[in-house]
Amino acid sequence: MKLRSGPRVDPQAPVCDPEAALVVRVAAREQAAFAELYGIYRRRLARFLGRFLASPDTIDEVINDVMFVVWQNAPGFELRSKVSTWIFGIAWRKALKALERQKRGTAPQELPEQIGKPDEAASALENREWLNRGLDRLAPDQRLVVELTFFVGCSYQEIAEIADCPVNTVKTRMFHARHRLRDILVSLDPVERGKGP
Amino acid sequence: MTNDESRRDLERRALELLPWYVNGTLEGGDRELVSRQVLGSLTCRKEFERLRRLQQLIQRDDAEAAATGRAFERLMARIESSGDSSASRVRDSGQAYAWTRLTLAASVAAAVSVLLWWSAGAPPTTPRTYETLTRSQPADPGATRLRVVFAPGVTESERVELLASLSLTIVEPPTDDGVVTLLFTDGTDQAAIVAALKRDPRIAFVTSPPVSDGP
Repeated sequence: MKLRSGPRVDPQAPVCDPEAALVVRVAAREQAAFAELYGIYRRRLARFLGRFLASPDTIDEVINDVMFVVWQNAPGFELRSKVSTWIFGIAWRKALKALERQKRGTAPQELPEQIGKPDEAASALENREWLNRGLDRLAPDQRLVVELTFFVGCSYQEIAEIADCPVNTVKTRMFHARHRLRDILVSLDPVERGKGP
Repeated sequence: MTNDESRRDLERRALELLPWYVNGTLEGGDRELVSRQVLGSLTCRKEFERLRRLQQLIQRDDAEAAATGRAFERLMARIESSGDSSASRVRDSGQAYAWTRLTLAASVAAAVSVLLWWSAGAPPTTPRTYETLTRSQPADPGATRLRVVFAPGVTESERVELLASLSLTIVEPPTDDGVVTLLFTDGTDQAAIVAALKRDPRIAFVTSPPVSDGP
């Protein structure tokens, strides 16, 4: 997310959102506030980045890269955005760079077009393996939209801000992601699951 | 546009917005539109249920065994070594840093206690032990630890900087006597690290040779 011109964090100004209040304190270089913000976001970022990056070491590295930028840029953060939108935007750009490095380092993975019939996979859904395989088939920008919607709970406007794209692009990516996850979505319908082959 | 086309168009728009209706972020007219369609259209209702279940699956918690305290210390060492002028103010605020570390340590300790209690099926009982610098460590296969006492007057940020420079991590917080248990990173030259610690004026004592917990 690009920082737009506008009012910057004012340490004296009253802030209602608890996370924004933390960022105001971080901007004033309060380390205790930074530790609290770090504690809040570390787990969320680890799970979010874990959707895109395979290596736990890379995830740790990217989280610290993200929080390093948060520390550095907190004084320039605009309170017009939600803190989560800002931080996940940074995380997404860092994840993209890490993905590029990952791609250069390994051979491209062949992903099957179909991931099994719904009835075959229904039991596997219990441990999420099947869902993860489905999510792995999505292009990174499609997956970003799915994860930010269902895992982080962002509005489509926030996702557009994080992904730095128009709102309609977000909707289109979600449309394609849902299309690719169609077999999973159908199997999540208890009526369809009960029908059998 | 005929009534039928109009109905289909509304349904199409509602289906497009459904993911954000499911995650509760839809507002105003968008929300009203989708609400009406979920009530009135079987297609929308079915898709709503599917997406709701998808969300539940995605949100199901994963184990995330990140060592928050250590990772945060590494980050702070990086911030301080980056030459950020404001970080020097942080360095001076030793109290804030100590508070931070205590908070993180307490969080980790609480989580570990709950896990221990859960796995043991009973509240953990910790026998009191007499702490000495060379007391042998509990078994931890593959790990090699050493114990140090920092010299008086060494600040928290100096400790963090020193440990980060030698790729050492704190595995046990300081005892009442100031003994800190450290863990080597895999693949590091342990003898060289111990030698560096012995030379460093910020270290008062260091175990030698390092306590090895491996077989």
